[in-house]
Amino acid sequence: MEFTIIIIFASLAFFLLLSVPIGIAIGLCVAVGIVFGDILPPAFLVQKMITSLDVFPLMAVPFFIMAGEIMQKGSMAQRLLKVSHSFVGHVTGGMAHISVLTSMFYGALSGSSPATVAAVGGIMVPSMVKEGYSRRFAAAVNTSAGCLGVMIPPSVPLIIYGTTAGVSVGDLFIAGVGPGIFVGICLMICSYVISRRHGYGGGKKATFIEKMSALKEALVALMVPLIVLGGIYGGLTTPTEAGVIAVVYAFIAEGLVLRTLDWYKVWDIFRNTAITTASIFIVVATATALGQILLFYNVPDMLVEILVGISDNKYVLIPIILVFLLIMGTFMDALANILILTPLLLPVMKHLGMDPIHFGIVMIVAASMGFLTPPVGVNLFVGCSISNLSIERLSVAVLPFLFTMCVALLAITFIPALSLGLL
Amino acid sequence: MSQNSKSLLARVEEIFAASSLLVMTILIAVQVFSRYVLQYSFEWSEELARYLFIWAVYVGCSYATKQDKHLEVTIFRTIAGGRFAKPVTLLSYVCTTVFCFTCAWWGMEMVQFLMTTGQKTPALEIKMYWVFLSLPVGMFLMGLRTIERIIGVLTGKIDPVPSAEV
Repeated sequence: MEFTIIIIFASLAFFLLLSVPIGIAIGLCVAVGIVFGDILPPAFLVQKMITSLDVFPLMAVPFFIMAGEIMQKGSMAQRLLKVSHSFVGHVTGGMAHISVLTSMFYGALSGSSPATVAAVGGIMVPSMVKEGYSRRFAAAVNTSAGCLGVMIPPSVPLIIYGTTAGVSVGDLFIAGVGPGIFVGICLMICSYVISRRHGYGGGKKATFIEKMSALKEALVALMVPLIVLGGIYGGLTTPTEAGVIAVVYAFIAEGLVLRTLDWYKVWDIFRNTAITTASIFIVVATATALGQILLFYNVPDMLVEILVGISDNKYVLIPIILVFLLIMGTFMDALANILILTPLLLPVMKHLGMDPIHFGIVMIVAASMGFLTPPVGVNLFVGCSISNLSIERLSVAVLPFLFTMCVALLAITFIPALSLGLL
Repeated sequence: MSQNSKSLLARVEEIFAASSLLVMTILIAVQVFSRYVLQYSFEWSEELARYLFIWAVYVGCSYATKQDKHLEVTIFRTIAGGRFAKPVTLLSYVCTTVFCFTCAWWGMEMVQFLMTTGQKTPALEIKMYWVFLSLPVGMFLMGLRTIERIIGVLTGKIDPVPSAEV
């Protein structure tokens, strides 16, 4: 029995390092487990690969990806930038704060982190460099702020966590708001300190009328979080329904009102959504199967025993788990991490008295920090391509922000009210 | 984009997966509208949308392979660089192909089994094997697309060093 588990993990590591697509690598290690373990039939894998996708809440993922695609093709990012500009542009290091605040707004439209970096950073990095900010700082702020894209709902990883852990995605969305804003403020403080040291000033303070006109122009975009979160918070819609409403709304807003779409772009939206959806859900399908196999071999129980054997004190055990999550996050994709580690770690966390919703938020914040670290850091890749910096230089430049997020992660972990207060 | 990829046959996965998502979106949108505005809900639309979603995922996998958009851990390929990139990439493609065809085979066994039991879906009452057929079909196509990539790397048409774009 133990031998099969070792074979499974060894083959997983082997196939992943070989750069086999993550979903396929996980599927291969499940297949290896089936063949070697000789307990489960091949039908097990097939069954899991179908039933794990046959879940209504998961369909929120393609909808939010689609809504994000529509808004990326349109002009919403620029409109949100103007709002941020009028509100925080005058503070020391103004452009950096604009980046963070816009990423927060954009995070409320989009469920993806690299998409946020591309949309906001794509505009902000060049204009920050033009204003005299160093390229490294500009790229680092935007790359880090992109993490807010997955913390602030809607969030693809939160949906995946919710279905894996069996908790309400709606509750997770609401719980994500506080920590998302908190991390945003922490990133702003960090950029303030850096800006002071480098002498980056702020712009002119906007008048009340300018603020209002910027808000009015961005109203189309700001309505999206209102509809999505309002519907969920009010108990009117499920996240999946909110997702489809966001899609329809975005199509109407961009296509009919702002007229930024044509038929060619519409087909592109569905095409790109199809690719992103498939590449995410092949991982979901096989990772669910892997989780079931590990459950079948009692791995979660064994893990609880080992960890509780180390210490029963949550102030010892939780930091150990956080470090483990961060290490896993550096070389594994966030979704694969959530799918594989949630079934393993959730029993431990429950044993320590942590709410599953709270743990979900902690896990997403930890996973999003993995977006900023090489070798597998999707935000870094996007940040590099928009700023023309090398991965090495950018990953050093984001270190102050990464450190800030570590502090924020500790606060979010040990102050449950930050996440659970709104519920 | 090469010339033949513009032909309809080469774009079959793209058209199928994107259209499935389109229909799925319309189904759920109409369902939400009818439930909240007309106070009437269909039972079958959600089920159909879920099955279209599953088909879109597996056929989309093949499309993602064609576009090289699958999520991969590329550390080794990047660190090892030039000389090893080609053999590592080829080996990973071979593993992918093996999984795809194994999965297609096991999937077909499942489909055959479901054909004999005649199990039906709860709301639509269509035969269950139509849902499970998505896996072998999608994986088989993905296997073919991966072989296409193997040939591409061998003939030098595809650069095995991964690009950093997402």
